[in-house]
Amino acid sequence: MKTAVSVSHLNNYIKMLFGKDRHLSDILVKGEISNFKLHHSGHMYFTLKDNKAAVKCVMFASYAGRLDFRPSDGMQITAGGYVSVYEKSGQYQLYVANMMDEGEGALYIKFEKLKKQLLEEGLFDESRKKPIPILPDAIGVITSATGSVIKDIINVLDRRYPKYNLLLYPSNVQGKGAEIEIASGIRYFNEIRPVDVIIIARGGGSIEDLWPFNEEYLARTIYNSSVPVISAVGHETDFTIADFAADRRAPTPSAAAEIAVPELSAIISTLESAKNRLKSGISNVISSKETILEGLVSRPVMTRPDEIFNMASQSVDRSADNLHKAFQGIVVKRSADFREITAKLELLSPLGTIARGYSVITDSEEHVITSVTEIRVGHDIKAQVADGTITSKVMKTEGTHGK
Amino acid sequence: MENKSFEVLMKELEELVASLENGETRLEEALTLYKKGIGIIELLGKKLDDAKKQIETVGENSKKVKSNE
Repeated sequence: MKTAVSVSHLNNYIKMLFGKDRHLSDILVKGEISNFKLHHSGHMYFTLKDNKAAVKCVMFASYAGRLDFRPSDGMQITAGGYVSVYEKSGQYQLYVANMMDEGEGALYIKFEKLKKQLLEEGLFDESRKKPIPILPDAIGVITSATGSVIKDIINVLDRRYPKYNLLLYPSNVQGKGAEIEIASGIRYFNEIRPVDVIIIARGGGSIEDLWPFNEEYLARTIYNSSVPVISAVGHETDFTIADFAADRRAPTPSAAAEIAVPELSAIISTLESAKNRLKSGISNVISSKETILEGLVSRPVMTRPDEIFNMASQSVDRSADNLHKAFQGIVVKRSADFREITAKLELLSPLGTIARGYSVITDSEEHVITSVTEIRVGHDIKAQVADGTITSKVMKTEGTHGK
Repeated sequence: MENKSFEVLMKELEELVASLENGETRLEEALTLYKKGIGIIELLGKKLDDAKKQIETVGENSKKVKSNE
């Protein structure tokens, strides 16, 4: 058996279902107004009908206050809003957020269609938007030469940056073909007199008045402009296709001028601060180098330069000592070696042999005689002995081997 | 440098100040940056001083506008 729910639960559930529906949460409905009642609270209650059906509608005061026409019975309108349930009576109704008369409604639908098409084509892509320069050398303004818009722009420029260079391209900003003139202005500021930023502007008006700014031709010209475009069309609440295609949308022409130029005083203070930063930057670099230099200068070698000399001479002394010692060592070793060799030599020296009783025989010219063939009988020979020489005459020679 | 736009010069100045503030700069380089920075500031100041307010009406409709005035 099913559990019974309360009426409140049922209505609440249905309301929730309505709320989930994508179509019902944002819908445009066209029809004829009947039973129109303006409550003293400012809310509007009416029925919207065609020849077969009717639906209850409410437009709350906060929205109703923005209407630029007074709805009345029999009027053909297009209402935009969402559908929900009034739980107290279980009745569904259209909660109207905006309302357009027949002509406006048709334009609105056209607008939505073009907006969707261009959005899908990428004409509104954020990535394609060009940055607005900080300080343009020249500003191109496309608007009506008469009227408050250009005056508002000039007022803001005078106040913020009174050294601007403004080129005004007068153009119709409403009526048939105005979009062609505005687009020509954009091309003029791209090709003939290049500027750094373009402002297209007009004051508020009805959707019909603003319509040139909703033309596809203008949107494409804005998109193709290599100079950044600021769009300032109508009041803060008016959005046009041009606003979406522009690099920047300004809520009003005055705001566009504010976007286009900085405040001169701000620039001057930026320059001042850059100067100060440069000065402190350079003095920081210098003082950091000074610190390094001071560190070096304060080392002992720099403060007491004679110490270098002392240290050097000390080290020379030490080296000399070392050298001396080394030399001594070598001398001592060499003399020992010498004595040893001398001793060995002495053993081999003929003098030593002579000392032991041998003698060396030479002829009178001191040639050592080692063979009987080197001397003849009757010649003098000398015999060298340990303490002198003995001269004698050869009596006879005789070879050992019978020669 | 004179031909560069205000915009480009401002950007150069900003970069230059930032690299000088970085502190790692060699002394010679720091001095060059400093001189260049002061030069840009003077040039920008001069550009500001020299600039005059100019309003000109241009384009196809300009004659029509002038004759109306």
